[in-house]
Amino acid sequence: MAKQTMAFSLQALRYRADQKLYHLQTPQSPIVRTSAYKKYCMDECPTGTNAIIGVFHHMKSRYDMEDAMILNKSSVESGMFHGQIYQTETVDLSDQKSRSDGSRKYFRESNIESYRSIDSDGLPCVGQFSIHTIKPDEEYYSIYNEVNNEQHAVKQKGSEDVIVDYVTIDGKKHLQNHPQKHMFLLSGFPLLCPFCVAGNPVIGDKFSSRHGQKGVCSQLWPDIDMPFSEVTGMRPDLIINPHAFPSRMAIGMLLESIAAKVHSTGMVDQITSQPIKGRKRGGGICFGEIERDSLLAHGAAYLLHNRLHTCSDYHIAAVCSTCGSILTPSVIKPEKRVARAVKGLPPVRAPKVFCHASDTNKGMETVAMPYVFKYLAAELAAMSIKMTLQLST
Amino acid sequence: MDPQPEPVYYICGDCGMEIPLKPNDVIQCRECGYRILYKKRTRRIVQYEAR
Repeated sequence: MAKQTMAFSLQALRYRADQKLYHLQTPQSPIVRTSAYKKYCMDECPTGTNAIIGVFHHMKSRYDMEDAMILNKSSVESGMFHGQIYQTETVDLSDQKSRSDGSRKYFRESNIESYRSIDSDGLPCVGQFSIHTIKPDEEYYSIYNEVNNEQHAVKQKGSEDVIVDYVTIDGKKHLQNHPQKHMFLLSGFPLLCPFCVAGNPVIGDKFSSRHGQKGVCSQLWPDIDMPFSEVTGMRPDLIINPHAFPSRMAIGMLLESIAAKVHSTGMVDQITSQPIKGRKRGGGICFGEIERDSLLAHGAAYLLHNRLHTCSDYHIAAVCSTCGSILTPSVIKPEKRVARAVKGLPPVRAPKVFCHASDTNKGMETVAMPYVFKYLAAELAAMSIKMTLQLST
Repeated sequence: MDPQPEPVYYICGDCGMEIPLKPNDVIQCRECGYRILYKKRTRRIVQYEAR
């Protein structure tokens, strides 16, 4: 799909003269990437944008038929998936000369009639957009014939409003006596304007993930009618039908979806920092003992670790390898930036950890553990029970 | 005869000089002799459509 997509395909856009070129306005680097992505320097020419995807049946609209998708209208209006189409128009006045009677022609503003989009040199104004865009059938440059004193303005041929991105004039050496080969680069859509209503994407446009899970936009659905996360208020940019997954078995898509979901969100307990229970207090669905046994029976150890540790109370603690305690090491507050600047020290440094029992800052190791384990050590210490950790690599 | 039109400024594609040109002038940079020139961005007011 990458070779078909409307991407950020080149860097030297300013100096190009392609017949037709599609260019993505807001490219993004993906959250999850393969090693080949970096190897081929894909970040230099990104192929798409990141989107929040909802996978469910959209019962209310019924527009999410298989391989169709619903786009969030507000996301689209705020610029998601927008792009430009660049077209180059070349006007060679020496060509026009050879066809006719050997008359001399050059660009000049009409002295009879004034046109909205034509500058005083007979060429269009560079970079005028919004209400000044050149409409279809509007005059945008004018040519003057010196011999028969004729002036004519040329109309825009396309069916869309255009902006002139740049104008190049080229007086080639062999054309010295009949100079002026002029070139206009026109961009197809007035999309630089964030208030633009008539812009792509439109219904019928094709979208695809990096794994070839493609579909067609069937509806632009208002943001206010989208489902949302109770905790974060996050709404999907795009809704796809779950039927798109089982038969295709695009595992890469599932992996990317899980891996790009960087962290868990929601209410946590003050003491244990684990997710709280009870739906009415903002808690989640309990992943209990039976569920744990089920995952163990399937041998899905990584998933179990992800559910019960990474998405729960994952914590990185400093452990003193001298005394083996996780309670005595504490972070020394770094000096204020002003105080450091007075002493001529660099502004930022990693915070130092110091063990109060061993009276040293050497041999401090960072260990990943559930946060409740640290709480357990504190509770045991309150009952005069010392817990010692033996570290090994 | 109509009044002389105001010169329009162009930028040389090679040395970056600003060159004023009138209609029917030779298209060439006066500094380096380069023959590809870029038209400057318009100074006209660009009005946004805010709705």
